[in-house]
Amino acid sequence: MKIKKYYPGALFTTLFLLSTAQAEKLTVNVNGMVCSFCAQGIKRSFESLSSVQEVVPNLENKLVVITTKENSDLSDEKIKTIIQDAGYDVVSIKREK
Amino acid sequence: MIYKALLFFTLILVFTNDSSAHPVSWKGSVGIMPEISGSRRELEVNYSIASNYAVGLHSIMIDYKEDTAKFILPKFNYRLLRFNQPGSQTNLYLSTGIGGVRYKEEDSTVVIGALQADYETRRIYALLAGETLQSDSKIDLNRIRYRLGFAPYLTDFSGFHTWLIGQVEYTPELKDQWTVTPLVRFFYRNYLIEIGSSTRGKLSLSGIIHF
Repeated sequence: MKIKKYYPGALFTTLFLLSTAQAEKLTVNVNGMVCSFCAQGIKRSFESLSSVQEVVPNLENKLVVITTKENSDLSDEKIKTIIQDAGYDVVSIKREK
Repeated sequence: MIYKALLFFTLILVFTNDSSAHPVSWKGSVGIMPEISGSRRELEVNYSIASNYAVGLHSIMIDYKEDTAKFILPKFNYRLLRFNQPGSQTNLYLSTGIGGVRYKEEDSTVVIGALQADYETRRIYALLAGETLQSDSKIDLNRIRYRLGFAPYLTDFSGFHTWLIGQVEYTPELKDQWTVTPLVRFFYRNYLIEIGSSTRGKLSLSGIIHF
């Protein structure tokens, strides 16, 4: 009986943990990113965050692809602040689990 | 941290003195820019407090008439505007500073003012920069620099980049008023170097490191 009572809660907790444990792939479209030397600040600033696993700027497509660590979150506001502090403008942010 | 300090002091020792290519970089970054070009040797070290302004120290040595003028200038660099477009970037910078100059064993106060406009795509690069050094002694020096460059090939962020640049300088107070210098620029990650030789055969060597 007790197992049945706690079953929905345990299921919810498990599903919640599974959903938050996933790393997230963020694709940021950036304006002005034409030179890799000038855009080093983008890579370095994101890499200094504990929530970030990998940062891959792509000059050809004007994208910065950021992979977060598991159980980590990186808000749109934080992304915009970092890109602007590096001297660039965010056009869009796409999130994928 | 130790290697950064060593690199910093090594560059100071090797070059003993600017490059005006990157007056401001990303927030929190340090830029070291040594340059040797004709009768001028310089080193600028700056710290970007924000993405649009930096403070720094600029040391310049210029062979002028029968002596060498040595300038030391604390500077404030401000990015007046930036247009970020999908395939290009346009900047306008203003630099000002006040410091000292030693010339013929005499010290005097000097003011620096500089404007730099640049435009860059992945293929093309253009720059126009003007600088004036005005002192309360007999040293007043001006320089206008024009640059046009292109990338012969494109590579991505982590690749080794090469640019071919043509540079024209006008320095009305110096013996050689007009100097034309073809340059090759290489950069990889946060290291940039430019090397060239003027049409008079004078070496031009400069670099930028950001960290």
